[in-house]
Amino acid sequence: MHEYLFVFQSLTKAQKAITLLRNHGIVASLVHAPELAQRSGCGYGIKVKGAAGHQSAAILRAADVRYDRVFFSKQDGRAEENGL
Amino acid sequence: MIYLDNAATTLPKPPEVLQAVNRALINAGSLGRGSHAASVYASEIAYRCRSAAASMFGAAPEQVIFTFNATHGLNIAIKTLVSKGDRVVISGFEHNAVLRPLVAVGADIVVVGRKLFDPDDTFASFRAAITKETKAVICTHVSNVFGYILPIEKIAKLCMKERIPLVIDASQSAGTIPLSLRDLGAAFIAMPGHKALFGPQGTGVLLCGDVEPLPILEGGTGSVSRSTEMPDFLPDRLEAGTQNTPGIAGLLAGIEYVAENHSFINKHEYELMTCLKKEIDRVKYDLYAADHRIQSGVLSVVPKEHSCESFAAKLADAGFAVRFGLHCAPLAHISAGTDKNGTIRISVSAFTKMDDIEKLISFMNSEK
Repeated sequence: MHEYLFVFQSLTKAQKAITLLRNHGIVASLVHAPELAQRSGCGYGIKVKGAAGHQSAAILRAADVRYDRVFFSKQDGRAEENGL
Repeated sequence: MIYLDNAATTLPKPPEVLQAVNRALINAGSLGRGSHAASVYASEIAYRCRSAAASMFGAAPEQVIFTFNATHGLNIAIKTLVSKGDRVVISGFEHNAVLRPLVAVGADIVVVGRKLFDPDDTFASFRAAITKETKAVICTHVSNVFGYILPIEKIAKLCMKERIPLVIDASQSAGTIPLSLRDLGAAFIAMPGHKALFGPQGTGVLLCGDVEPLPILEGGTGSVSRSTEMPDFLPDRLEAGTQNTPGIAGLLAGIEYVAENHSFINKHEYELMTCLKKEIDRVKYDLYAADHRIQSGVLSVVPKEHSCESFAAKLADAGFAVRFGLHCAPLAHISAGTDKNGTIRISVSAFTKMDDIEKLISFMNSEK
């Protein structure tokens, strides 16, 4: 399944983002960011379904909740950084 | 025991607080330290508590920092803003939680506004004392000794106009008097979680305004772990080490209790205080009382025929829990002229019964 992973250094910021997305009806789950997504160790990620990626990015930007990086995971399990 | 020392810590706590602490002790892991269910549960409690506090005090969740108590928060605020020799203007009703850190950093302390229950004089004295050299203004919202409500909105406006960072000690007001970080434009607002917010002891909140706060404790935060420095973002920058999740769970339940019962709490405390001020025999006691608009739920009294210490002992023997002495606020007592013997402080909460107040009044008025 295609998924987007929005990565945050701050747990609180990730929680703020997840609350915001859920308030917009977007199913989102909080995860510890995988090693691939960490630049400086220990970060947090929010997973959303592929179809909700663009809308999620727009909602977060509009609310000035800034994520550090975004990854897109493909069906084969590989993830690559995305420029959302 | 009839507990009337709620200015020290509220007792009892709402049953919801006890239940929340208990649930957290059973279920909560370390918040922000893993993706397993126990850690996620703890992290959710913390975020809900930040959001509830943010909503109550006009802040964003990330501006809500968990502290051990108000003193911890005030130390962060003072050590961020004040260096040796800096001129700092404070009110004449500050607690040692403000005075001692200022002395420790070697601040040039200017004490203003020593007239009790005179908000016009308090404001005028702040206005007169603030100069271009002033590095910070620190002001309690409510005196822990006398319940005096200082004119914090006017002082905050003055500080905004003069662009001087303001630190507010909300130890006696948070949970009873509305406060907004956003509206007041304060650099910091420090408050305990265990007083009128009804959380457990060992909890507190520091609201951080538009400042770059200096950590006074460094350590693990569950974020940017490869860096040897503290994160540059809030709340992580100020929250090193394992947090007090059971306490935070209790604080959340306390904040929710206050949010749901605010009108009742205000009305109830007003009625209790009105009864105390009206019925305590002024022939036998000096009362430090004022209109409810400038006095919160704290009343200081001084017996005319007894020392405070001996009369407080009589009260204790009769089952009344009050606090006598200087209440860790010698400055406030110097301002009010009660520093020689202190006062006896009676302080109420939402759980104080009118029957308890009547018993206290009856005991006090019948004493010879």
